[in-house]
Order: sequence, then structure tokens, then C-alpha cells
Amino acid sequence: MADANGTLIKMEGVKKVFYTDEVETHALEEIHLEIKKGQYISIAGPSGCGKSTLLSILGLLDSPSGGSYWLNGQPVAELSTSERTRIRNREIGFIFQAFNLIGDLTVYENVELPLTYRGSGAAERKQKVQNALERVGMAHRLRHYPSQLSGGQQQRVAVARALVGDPLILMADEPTGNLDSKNGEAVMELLRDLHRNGATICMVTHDQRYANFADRSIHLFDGRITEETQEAHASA
Amino acid sequence: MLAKSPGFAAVAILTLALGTGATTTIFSVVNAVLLQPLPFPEPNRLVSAVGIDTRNNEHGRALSYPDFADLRKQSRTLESLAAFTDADFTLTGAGEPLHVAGEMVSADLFTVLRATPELGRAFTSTEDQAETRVVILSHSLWKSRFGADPNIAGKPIRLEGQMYTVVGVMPADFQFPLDAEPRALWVTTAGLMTITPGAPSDDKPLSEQRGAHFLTTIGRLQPGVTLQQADLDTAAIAAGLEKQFPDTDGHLSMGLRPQIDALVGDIRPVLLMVLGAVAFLLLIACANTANLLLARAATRQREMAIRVSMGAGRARILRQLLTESVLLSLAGGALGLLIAVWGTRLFATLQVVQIPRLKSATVDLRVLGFTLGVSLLTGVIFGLAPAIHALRFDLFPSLKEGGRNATEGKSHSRLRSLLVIFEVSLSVVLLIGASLLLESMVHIVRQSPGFDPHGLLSFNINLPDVRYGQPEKSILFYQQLLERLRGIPGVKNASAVLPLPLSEDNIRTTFEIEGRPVAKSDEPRTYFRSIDPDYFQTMHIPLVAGREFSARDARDGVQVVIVNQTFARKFFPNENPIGKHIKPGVSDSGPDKMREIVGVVGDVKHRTLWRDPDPESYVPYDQAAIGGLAVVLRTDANPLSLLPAVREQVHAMDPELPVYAPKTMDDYVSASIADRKFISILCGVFAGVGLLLAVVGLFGVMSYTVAQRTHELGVRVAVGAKKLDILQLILRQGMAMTFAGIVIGLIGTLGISRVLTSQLFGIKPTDPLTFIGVAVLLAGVALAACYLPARRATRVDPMVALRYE
Ligand SMILES: Nc1ncnc2c1ncn2[C@@H]1O[C@H](COP(=O)(O)OP(=O)(O)OP(=O)(O)O)[C@@H](O)[C@H]1O
Ligand SMILES: [Mg+2]
Repeated sequence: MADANGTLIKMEGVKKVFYTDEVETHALEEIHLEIKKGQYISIAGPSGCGKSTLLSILGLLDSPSGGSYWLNGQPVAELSTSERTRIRNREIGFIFQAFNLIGDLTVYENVELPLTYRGSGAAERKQKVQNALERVGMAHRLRHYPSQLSGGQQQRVAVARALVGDPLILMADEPTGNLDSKNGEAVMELLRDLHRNGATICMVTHDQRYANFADRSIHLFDGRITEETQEAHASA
Repeated sequence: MLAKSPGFAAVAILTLALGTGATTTIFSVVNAVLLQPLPFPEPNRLVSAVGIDTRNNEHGRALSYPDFADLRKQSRTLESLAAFTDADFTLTGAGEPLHVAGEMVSADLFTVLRATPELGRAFTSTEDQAETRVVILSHSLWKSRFGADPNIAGKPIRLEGQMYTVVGVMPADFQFPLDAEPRALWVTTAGLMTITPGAPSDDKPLSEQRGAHFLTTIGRLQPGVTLQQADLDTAAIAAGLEKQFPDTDGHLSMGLRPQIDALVGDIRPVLLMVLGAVAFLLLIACANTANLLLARAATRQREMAIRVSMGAGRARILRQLLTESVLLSLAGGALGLLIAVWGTRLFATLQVVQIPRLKSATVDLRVLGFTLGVSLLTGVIFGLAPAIHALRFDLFPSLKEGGRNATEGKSHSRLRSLLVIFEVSLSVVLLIGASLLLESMVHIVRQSPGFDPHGLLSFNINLPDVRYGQPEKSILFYQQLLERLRGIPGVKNASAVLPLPLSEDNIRTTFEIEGRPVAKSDEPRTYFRSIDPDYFQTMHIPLVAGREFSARDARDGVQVVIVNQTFARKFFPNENPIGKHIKPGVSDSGPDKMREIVGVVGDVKHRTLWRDPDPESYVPYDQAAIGGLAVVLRTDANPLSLLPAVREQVHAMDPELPVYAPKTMDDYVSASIADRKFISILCGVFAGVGLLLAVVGLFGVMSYTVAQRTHELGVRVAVGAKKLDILQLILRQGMAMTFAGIVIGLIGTLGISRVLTSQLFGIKPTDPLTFIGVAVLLAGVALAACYLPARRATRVDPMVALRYE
């Protein structure tokens, strides 16, 4: 749950440095960021500016090199690996640009995966997977394998996988990057639906049209936040 | 490609070298032992005539001289037939007295073989007649003892105290018989035509005793006659003899078998089994290499797809892949050949094993051809899988996915899994086979021979008939000799026996049981040993009932016999055998005598440790002085350290008697199991290497899988998979393959159990403990092999899920 004033995510002075051979890459510098529960944030910026890096830190896939990050009021730096795994599994849902469905598993099994790792019972899993797939309109393709689906369908399955465990936050890294505009819009529509139902969403996108769907847009440049816009229509 | 990845090429070549090296080594042995023709002209026409006991269909019995002579005379299908038997001689008058192993052969042997001496002539047909003493020398005896005298032909030499005329010298490469230590000389069967000196005049010479089976034969088929025709002819002649001489030839048939079978018939199934084992090893090596190639093909799949899309013909790609694999296998074959040259030399110089012709094993042209063939074949076999795959792969998904979806082509990984399953199952079969052989070996080693072989020295003396022909003389000689030997410090006991246990010498005779008359031809048979009274004490053979022999069992006293437990059980199942009378055909002079059974002793494994003991009768030497005894001495010291003192005592009694074949009884025991041990250990080594290769294969596939699945694993971690989840995921995949392999392997082993049965001892080919043990061992080793890649999998960074673009 969010803390008293509804803050779900808080970053202060977060930075990320990659060391490759002799080269230091400062992917993120002095990131201050607060995201309230239920907000829809879009992150934009030129290639290589640090968007994916920011998202991966937000989603506990990676740790910052400096600064502080509180998730749901808790300092992330103090979490053990297994606690981070647990949170990734229960509180965060990921949607990737490359869909990242597992080719050897059926649509059903792919969506079921987070629940499996959570250790949910079979009946509960079945119920939730069914619901999630219905929400993205893919309930009729349970037994298909990802390779038998179109890109748009694959991404909808990936969205179902992200939301099947009722996460607090959805992290989406260019979810429409590999889709044509029609399919892209359908996925965006889905995210908007989820947002209307109360989901907190962080989405990286290059596409200004989609950025406009969000409550807030953050612009990154060279690892720093350069600009924030509040979209007036978002709460409409 | 090969040059670009030296590590891959090195692993592949080493694996193949191991496989082809081992296979080629064994093939060179098979080639030398089984495939080489006999070293005589037209070897396919050479046959051996053997006796067949029609009661139990026991083949391979020796022939008596009269039967041999009749067969030779009556046969229309044999061009010639010769008989031979071992004969030991003491050579004197040419340096120190020397014991030499010789062969007594019918004069036409050299005609049958079509072998000619390098000096002088072969025997003439008249030289088989009584009182003819002629000898042909071997090249090496001629050189070592007669200074390679070019005028040796016609000169006399002294054998067993009698003068023999040298008629010829055989060339250095001549050897006969082929399955024994090289013979130093050959004499004719003239010696069989006279009665042994000292025997009563009513006795008949061996050449007229139809019941004395001791001759081995070699014959040559008439041109154009098949073995079957000659075999039928031989059987018909035997049937005639059986009718004519029912007492001696009842239940006796005769048959022919190829001479090569007589030589290597027994070892053939064993060697073929080893060849089979090594073929399994080669297959495992092939599967391993195929897997390596597949892994590489997978990483190059996109490259291939792009090549094809740019117009490269599939045939061209197929050719490229096959060329690569054949190049690899030829390189592996070349290295394997080096291993084989070394391995073959090792085998040929092995002293312990007694496989005929093993010493002549070399890497010859045929072996070279074999290696080349095997290398090409393996190259095609293990190259085929990736090549076919390359032909079949789907262009479109390859290009579309760009490997992104974390799904390797399913058929591809399935093929790799199948190969691993195949490897595991082969290695299960190998392991179980080898375990069963080794367990049999352990059972055999644990078998008590029935006497205590530790601390026993044995040696032989050959008493020349001229001076010791009368039984009284040899009896006295042994009495005095044993007395002297017992006086040597460190000797606790001394005795003598003929034939020595485990020496491969055996005497079998028929016997009558008093009060149970049967037709002469239906008389039962017993093994027979002539012993000095202290024999059981010295050998530590337990007395079970009655008494041992003693000084009162003198030559003219009550005729006595001691039997073993098997004898007692078989012929007196519900009676006390002590006091019963039997009449075995073991007289040294005069007619056979009824003998009273005075004792029963424990069974001794006289023939081999793994064969059940046979009925056995012991008679005191005083009452059956039928030949030269082997002496046995018991001591607490190192048995061989007694030898100088022993030689001294023998020399003191008769300076012309060489002490020969001095060996500890432990040596006899280990020599009797040496071949088996060698084969078992060999199979064990192959199974070990096979297991290693299979496990390396599994490890390779799992490592490769983890590398291929990195992205998928990252996704799983990103959505919340714990370390344990990942560990389980990978282990489960590896163990699923392993278990499939184990199950198939177990079933496969049941399939080949028939081949194994004859080689096992004390264990069933389906021994459940062995099956379970091997399955557990393999599962354990496989688990270890999967654990490392699985551990690596748990360290996959979930970031790859995001970064994989
Ligand atoms: N594992 C890494 N090691 C070294 N440098 C890295 C690593 N990951 C990212 N970087 C660097 O950090 C910077 C930010 O990368 P990031 O992936 O966050 O950019 P991005 O904004 O997502 O770009 P794009 O729009 O192309 O996806 C880049 O300069 C990149 O090269
Ligand atoms: Mg990015």
C-alpha cells in the first residue's frame, strides 16, 4: 500500500554507472522522482539516454549505484535478493518491447508463470489466468504457442502475464516498439483500461502519441530528467 | 570454421581419437587372433577331427591312435590327416641338460601343413614305425644349442637318454601347434608303437589302445570337398567303428571342424563381445561429436539462413557441413591410429594373457583400412544429423525471430536431447555389462581352489624312460627326492602329484563300480590323479571321511583309492563310499585293479576356478607310477627363494635332470584367471571411458542449453522465479534425459543378456542389484554434470530480459 500521501515510489539522487573495461558510462545522474499510486507515467527521451536503465531500477531488476529509492515506503537498498524476487513477483508486472514470451510454453503457461513462482494453488491460478486472458481478449488462444501468434497477439499475452498477479505497478519498456500502429493502439488502449481501474503504470515510449495517454511525461536526456509535463486530459 | 574454433575442434578430435583408437586397437587384436588365416598354404582346407560324446554331445574330445588311424585310412574326403600330442624331453649332451617342450607328431604332419624344413627334410611315412628315432629341430633350438650347424642333418642328439637322428630344421617363423608355447622340436609317433619299458608283456602299446584318447588332429580336405561333406563322411566312419568296437567306441562319434575354430573357437565370442563393447564406445563418441556439431550449427543457423537466402544451394551447404565432419573424423582417426599403434603394442607384449596369436597383433593394412573406414563412416554418421538439420531448417522463422524469442528450433534441441539419451543408454549397457563381468571376476577370485595356494612352490622333473621306465625306479626316485627336499631349511612339507591342479593337464579315465555291472562303453568317467601320500597334507586339502594314504599303501599291498566329495555325492549318493570298490583304468602295468575307497577329500577346482568340481580319484603313486610327477613344497618363506636349494638336491640325485616350470601355486591360480581378468578390466575401462564421454556429452548439452536459454531464464527471473525454481528447471531437464537414457539402457541390457550369460560366473545377467547400482551411479554422475550448468543458470541476470534487443 502507498504511504499516507499516496506516494508509491520515491527516488532521491539516484544514479547508475556502468563500468565496461576502462569506460565509465553514467547512465543515470541525480534522478529525483516521486510517483503516486494510480499514476500513469510515460518516460521518453533519445536512444541511450537511460530510459531502460531507469525502468529496470524502478522494477528491481537492477540496483542503483548511488542515491536512495523507496518503494512503498521501504528503502530498496535494504532488501535481500529473495525479498526483491518476491516483490518482483507480487508487486510488479513487466511488459517488454520484445514480448519475451517463452517459446516452449503455451499462452496459458506463459501467463501462469508468475503465479507458479508465487506458489498459488491450481484452482486460483486457473481462475486468474482465465481472467487476465479475457481482459486482453486472448482467452480463445490458451493452447497456442507464441510462435503461432501475431506480434500484437503476443504482446497482449505479455500484458496478461504482467497483470495476472494483480501487481501494484506495471512496468512497460516500449510495449509498442515491435507493433504496427493498429496493434500498438490496441495495447495502449489496454493499458489505459488498466489505469482507469487503478493500476500504476510506468511506460517507456518514443511515441509522442502514446506518451500523451499518460498523466505525466518525464523526459530524460543524458541520464538526467530534463522536463516534466502533466497532461491535463489524463484525469478526464 | 574449424580453424576459427580450435577449442571445439580439439574436443571433437580428442573424443573421436579415443573412440577410433580403442576400436582400432581391439580390431587389430581381432584381426590377428580371429581373422588372420592359418600360416599354411590353402588354410581354408585345414580341419580338425574331434571325438564327440553322443551322450552329452560334448565336442572336442581327443582321439585314440587306432581311431585316428582308421579314420585316416577310411576317409574319402580327407586328403591327409595327422595326429599330434605334447611331449616333454630332456636334452643332454649339448651343454647343460635342458628341458624342452616338444611335439610328438605323425610323420605326415608336414605333408598336411605343406611346410618344408629350411635344412634337411621332413619325416618320411616309414618313420612312424617302432624303434625309429628321428627328430626335426626348431630354428631357435638349432641356433642356441647346436651353433646353427649347417651339417646338423644326419647327426645324432640325445633325448631322454636315447639317440635320435636329426633329419631337418624348421624355419624360424614355423610354429606348430599354434596355440601353445613355441615347440623346440618334433619327433614322430614311433614312440607310441612300443610298450613302455617295464610294462608286462601282455600290455599293448598306446598305438593299439582304442580307449586311450590323447591325440589332437589336423587334416586337409580333398580339393572341392566341403566341410559338410567331409563331416558326414567322418561321422559315417565313426558309426562303423562304434559298431565294430562297442566297448571302446560306444557313444563315440567323430566330426570335423575348421582348424581355425579349433585354434580360436573358444576366444571368438569373448573377443567379439569386447569388440561390441568398444563399438558402443565409438557410438558414444560419435553422438558426442554430433552434439558438438549441432551446437555449432545452431549458433550458425542465422548465418546459414542468410547464406541460403542469398542464393547458396542447399547441396553446397550440405557438402560444406559433411566435409567439415569428415575432416574432423579423419583427424580423430589419425590420432586414434597413434593410440591404436601404442595400444596394440601394449597388448602384444602382455605376458599374462594366453590368447593365441595375440602376440602377432599389429596395425597392418587391414587394420589401417578398418580405421579409415570407421573414420569416414563416423564422420558421415555424426555429420549427418547437423547436415540434415541444416537442410530442413526453416528460413523464415530464422530470419524473423533472429533468435530473439528465446526458443531455439524445437526439433533441433530435441535432436540434441535424443543424442544424449542415446549416449546415456549406451553407457548404461556398457556399465552393466562391465559390472557383471567384474562382479563375476570378484566371485571367481573369492572361489577357494580347494587347497591353500599360498606358500606353495611347484616344479616339474621329466624322468627319462631309459633310466626310470620301470615303476619301481621312479617310485624310489621320488621317495628319495622328497626326503631330501623335506630336509631343506624352510620347507615344511613336500609332496608330488600328476597332473598338477590348474596346470591345464588332466587325465580322465573310465571306471567300474563293484556290484554295478554296465556295458564297457557305458562306464562312468572320473578325473584321475596319482599322488605321493603327503599330498593332501602339503596342499591343505581337507580329509572329509576315512583316511589318507600312508606308507602301508605299498605297491604290492591292498589297492586303494581316495575320491573327492563330488565323486562320493555323484556315485554313492545315499551310501558311505568308504570300503566300496571301484576299478579305474589307471594301471602302470598289468590289467586294471579293483581298488578300495579308503577316504573322501574336499573338492579341488582342478580345471578352472569357475567350473564346478568334477568327480575325482586319487591313487598312490606307488600303485600307479604312470609318469613324471610335479613336486609341490610348502613353506612360510617366499616359495621361489627355495629354488637354488631345490636344484642342488635334484642335481645331487641325478645331474642330467633339469628342474623346469618352477612356479608358485599362486601363479597357477592367477594365470588360470588372467585372460578373464584382462577381458573384464578391459571392458571396465571401456565402460568408464564411455561413462565419461556420456557425462561430458550431457554436461555439454546442459551448458549449451543454459547458454541458449539465458534470455528465457532472465524473463523467468524477472517475473519472479527464485534461484531454486531455476535450479529445478535445469536439473529436471537434464535428469529427464538421463532417466530416459537409463530406462532405454536397462531394457537394452536385457536384450543382450544372452551374449553375456556365458561369460558370467556367480551372477545372473539380470542381477537387480547391478541394474539398480548402475542406474543410481549414472543418475548421480548425471546430476553432478547438470548441477554446474544449473548453478550458472541461477546467476542469470534478469536484466537480459530488458536488454535483449
Ligand atoms: N549493462 C550495461 N553495461 C554498460 N553500459 C550500459 C549497460 N546497460 C546500458 N548501458 C549504457 O547506459 C546508457 C543507457 O542505456 P539504456 O538502455 O538505459 O538507454 P535507453 O534510453 O533505454 O535507450 P533505447 O531508447 O535505445 O532503448 C547507454 O549509454 C548504454 O550504452
Ligand atoms: Mg531501452
